[in-house]
Amino acid sequence: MAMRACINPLSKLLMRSNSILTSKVNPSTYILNPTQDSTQFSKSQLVNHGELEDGVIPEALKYSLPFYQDTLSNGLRVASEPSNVPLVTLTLQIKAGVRNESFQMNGIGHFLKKLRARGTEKRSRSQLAADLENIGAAFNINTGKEMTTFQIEVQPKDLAKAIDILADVSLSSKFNKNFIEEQREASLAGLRDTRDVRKFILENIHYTAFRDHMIGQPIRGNQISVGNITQEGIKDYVDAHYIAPRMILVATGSVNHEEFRGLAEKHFGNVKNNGRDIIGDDKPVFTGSQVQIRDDDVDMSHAGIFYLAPSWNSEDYFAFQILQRLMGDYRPARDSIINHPHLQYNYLHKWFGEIEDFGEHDSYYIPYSDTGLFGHYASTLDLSGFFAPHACLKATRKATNYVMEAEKYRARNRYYNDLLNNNDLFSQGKEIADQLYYAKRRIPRSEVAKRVSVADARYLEKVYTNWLWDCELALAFYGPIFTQVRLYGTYRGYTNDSNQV
Amino acid sequence: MIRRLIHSSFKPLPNHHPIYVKDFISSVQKSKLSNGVKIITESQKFPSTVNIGIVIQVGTRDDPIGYLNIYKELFLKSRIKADQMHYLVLDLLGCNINLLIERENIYINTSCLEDHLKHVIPALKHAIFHLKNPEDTSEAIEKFNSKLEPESKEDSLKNFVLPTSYSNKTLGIRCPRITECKLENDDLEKFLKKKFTAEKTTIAATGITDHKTFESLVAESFSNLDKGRLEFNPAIYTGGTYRENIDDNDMIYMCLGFQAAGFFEHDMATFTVIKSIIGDGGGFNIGGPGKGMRSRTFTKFLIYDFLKTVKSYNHAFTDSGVFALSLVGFEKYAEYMPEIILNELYDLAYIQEEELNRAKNIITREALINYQRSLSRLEDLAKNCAFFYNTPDEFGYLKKISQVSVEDIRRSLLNMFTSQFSMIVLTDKNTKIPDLETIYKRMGRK
Repeated sequence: MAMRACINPLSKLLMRSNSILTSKVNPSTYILNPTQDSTQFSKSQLVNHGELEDGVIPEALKYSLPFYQDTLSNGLRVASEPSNVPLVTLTLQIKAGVRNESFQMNGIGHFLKKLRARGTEKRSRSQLAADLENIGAAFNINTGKEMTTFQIEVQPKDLAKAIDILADVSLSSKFNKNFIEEQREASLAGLRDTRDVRKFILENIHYTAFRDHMIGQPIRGNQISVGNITQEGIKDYVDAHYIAPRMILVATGSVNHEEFRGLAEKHFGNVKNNGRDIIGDDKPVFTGSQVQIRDDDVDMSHAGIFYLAPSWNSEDYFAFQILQRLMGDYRPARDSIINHPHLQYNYLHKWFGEIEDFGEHDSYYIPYSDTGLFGHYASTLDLSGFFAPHACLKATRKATNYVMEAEKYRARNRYYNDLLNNNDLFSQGKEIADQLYYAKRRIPRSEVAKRVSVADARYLEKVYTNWLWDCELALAFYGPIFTQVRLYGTYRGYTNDSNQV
Repeated sequence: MIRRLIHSSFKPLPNHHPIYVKDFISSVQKSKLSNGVKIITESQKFPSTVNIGIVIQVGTRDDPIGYLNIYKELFLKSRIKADQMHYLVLDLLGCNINLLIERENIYINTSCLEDHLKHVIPALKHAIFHLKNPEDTSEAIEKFNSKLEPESKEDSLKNFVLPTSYSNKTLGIRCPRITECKLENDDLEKFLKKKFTAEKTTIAATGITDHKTFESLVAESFSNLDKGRLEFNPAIYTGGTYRENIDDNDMIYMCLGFQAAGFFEHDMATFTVIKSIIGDGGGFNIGGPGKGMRSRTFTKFLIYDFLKTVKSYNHAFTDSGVFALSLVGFEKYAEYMPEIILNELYDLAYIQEEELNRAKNIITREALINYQRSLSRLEDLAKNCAFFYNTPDEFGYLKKISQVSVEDIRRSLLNMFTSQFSMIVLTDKNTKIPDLETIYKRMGRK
C-alpha cells in the first residue's frame, strides 16, 4: 500500500498504523487509497483543520474578566468577578466536609444542610421560603467531601437582601431538638433511596479506596451515625468549622466590589476567627481493594474502576485534567458503531462498541487537597458486565504506553471549549472559591490554556506511566454480578504486562 | 521547559500576563442569502467559543410517517468514508453536536473556536443535509422501534395532551412506531430533499466577531441548497377525550387541557405567569427554601390528602397553545378531580398582588438565568429569526411579564373556560369519572 501524507502542518504528526511503518516512508512519494476495508487504525490523510501549534492558545482565551480580592479583619476572604450579566450570584464556601466529621456522627454536614431549611433565629421556615421566593431567588446548599457551599442567585437590585439571607441561613440556623428529630426521620428514610446509581458507585469507590479515613465515608452518613447526631454534636461541629479563616465569599455577575465588600463586612464581619481543634487534616491512604454489592433485582450491572490520582496542587494536576478529556464519555446512541470516526482516535469507544448492550460510560478526575481519584464508571446489561471493566483497564493502560497526537488535540480542544463555555454564574462562583482555597489564588483561564497548549504527548505518557502503570485499584461493582466479577488480583494484573487482554 | 509549564497550579506561570478586560454589550445582526437561508449572529459579549445553531423548519407536525426519527438514528452514523472524514473534523475539533427533533423544527447546535469555523461549517452542512440513504435504513427503523420503551404513567399523561387537543393531527402527531409503512430505500432521501430546503433553514451564531465574515463562510457552503418554499399546515385545536384502562394500585392519572395562547400572542405572558403561580411538585419532602414551595401546588392542591402529584404545562407554538393541569391521586376520589382543577383555576381570578409579584419575580430570574447562558440565547436567536425574522428582545419579554395584571389573568381564564377541554384519563376500567359533557353541564355551559 502506498501512502500520501497531507502536505500541511499536520504532516508533522506521527501517525502510527497497524499496517504501515511511517518511519521509513517519504511522505511525498507514497499514495494511500483508503477503502472500506481499511483496518481501523490504518490512517489516511487527516484533513487540515487548522490546528494551533503547541504553545499557541486561541485568541479568545487570552482574555479574562477583572478579578478583585480582599480579606476582612477577621480573616474571611472576599472576592468578586464582575460582568454585565443582569444577575448576581453569591457563593459562600466553608472548609467543612465529610473528612472533618467523626465516625460516630458521620453525615452531620448533610444533616445540617437539611436542617437549615427549618428556620433561623430571625426567620421561621415559611418566612424564609417567602423571603426567597418574593425576590425570585435560586438558593442551593451542597455538602461535599471537603467543602460545604451555599449559593444564592438574585437580580442585582436584591443583592443586599440576598447577602442578609445568606448570612442568616449559614450562621444563625436554629437547631432545636424537635427539628433535629423530624429531620432524623426524613434523613433515615432518604438513606434507603439508591436510585442514583452513579452516586452510589462513587460513594463505594471512596469507601473502598480510603478506608479508615473520613473522606471515604458517605456524605449522607449511615443508619447508625445519623441516629447518633445530637444537638451538642451539631453545635460543636458548627463552632469548630464555621469560622472566618475557613470561609470564602465570592460574588459573580453584576456587582460592584466595594459595595459587595461593605455588605460582606456588615453581615460576616462578626464571625469569629478561631475555633476548637478540627479533625481530618491527616492524609488519606489509598487502599487497593474491591467491593461487590450483588442485587439480582436490577437489570444493569454497574462498575467503577478507579486509580490514585494527583491532588489539586500536585505538579501533574493539569495532565490528569487532559486525561479525563482524552477518555471522555460514551453513549451508545451517539457512539455505537464500529468504524465510527470517533472510534478511530478513541480506543475506549472502539472496545465499548464491541460490547453488546453497553449502557453508559463516564470518566472522572476528582482531586482533593492532598489526594485524588481518576477512573471510569460503566454500566451494561448483566451478560456483558464482564467486558466493561476490561475495556476501561485496557484503555487506561494504553494511555501509559502511547498517547496519539490526534487524541491529544481532541482533548486539548475539548478543554479549550470547556474553558470558554463556562458562562454560568453558579459554576464560575464555585470555580473561583475552589481555586482560592486550593491554589490560594485565582488562576486565569489564559494560564490554564497556556499550560494545556504545551502538553506534549510523550510527556503525558510519562506522567500517566508514573501514576497508572502497575498500580493499585479501587473497584466497585453493583447489580446482578454473580458470574461477572473476577478477583482483585486479576484486575490488578491488567495495570501492567502480566495479564494481557 | 514543558514540565515547568504544564505542572504546578500553585505558583503563577512565569512571564505569563493575563489580559483583563470587562465584558461588553453585544449586538445582533441578521441577513439572508440569495436562496433564502437566514443568518443571524450575536457579537461577543466576552471572548468565548462560537456557538452555532441551525434550525430547519420541519418538525413532527409535518411528518406523520416518522422520517425524522429515522433521520435521527442515522445522523452522524454514515459508513461512507467521505462522510466519516467530515465527522472526524467535528470530533477532533472538540465539537459536541446535539440534534433535537421538535414539533415545529429540528434544531442542531454545536460549539467551536472561531478559528475553526471554516472547517466546522462545511462539515456540519455535509452531516445535516447529505444524509445518503444507506442500505441500513431498515436497521435504523428496527433500532428506533426497539428503543420505544413503555412510558411511565406520568410521561404518558404528558404525551397525550397534544394528540388529544389536536385530534392526532399537526401538533398532535405522536411519535409513531415505524412498522406499518413499508419504506423504499430512497423514501428518506426524497423526504429530505423536499423538506430540508434553503427557505426553511436558519443559521445562528453567538460569540462572533464579524457578521460579514461569518456570512461569507456560510454562503460558501449553503448557497447551493435548493430554495424550496415555506409550507405551513395550521394547527386546529379541537379538544377531546382520551381514556386508557390501566391497573395501577388504585391510582388515577388525570389531565385537563385548555386552549391557550401561541408564542407571539399577547396572552402568552399571562399563561406563563399562571403556570408559575400554580407550579408543580409532589410530596412535601421534595424541595426547600427557594424551590417553589409557596406555589399553589403546595398551598392549595396538595392540601387534599388523596392527591400525590400536581403538574402544570404551558405548550406554546407559533400558531396555537395548550395549557394543562395534571393530577395523580387515589382513584377512589376520581370524580372530584376535574372539579378541583376548575375550582382552583377559578380561584386564580382573585389572586393578590403579592402572590402575583412573587410569580413574576421567579419568571424574571429564570429568564435571566437563560439569558446568561449562551446556548439558551442561541436557541432563542435561531428560532425567532427562523419563524419571524425577528431579533429576540429578552428585556421586552420581561417587560411583558411585569405588565401582566389580575385583569389579564381573568381574561385568560375566561378564554380557557369557554374553550373545548381536553381530558386524558389513565385509570382502572371501573373508575367513574365525569365526562366532558357532564363537566360542561355542571359549569352551566351549553
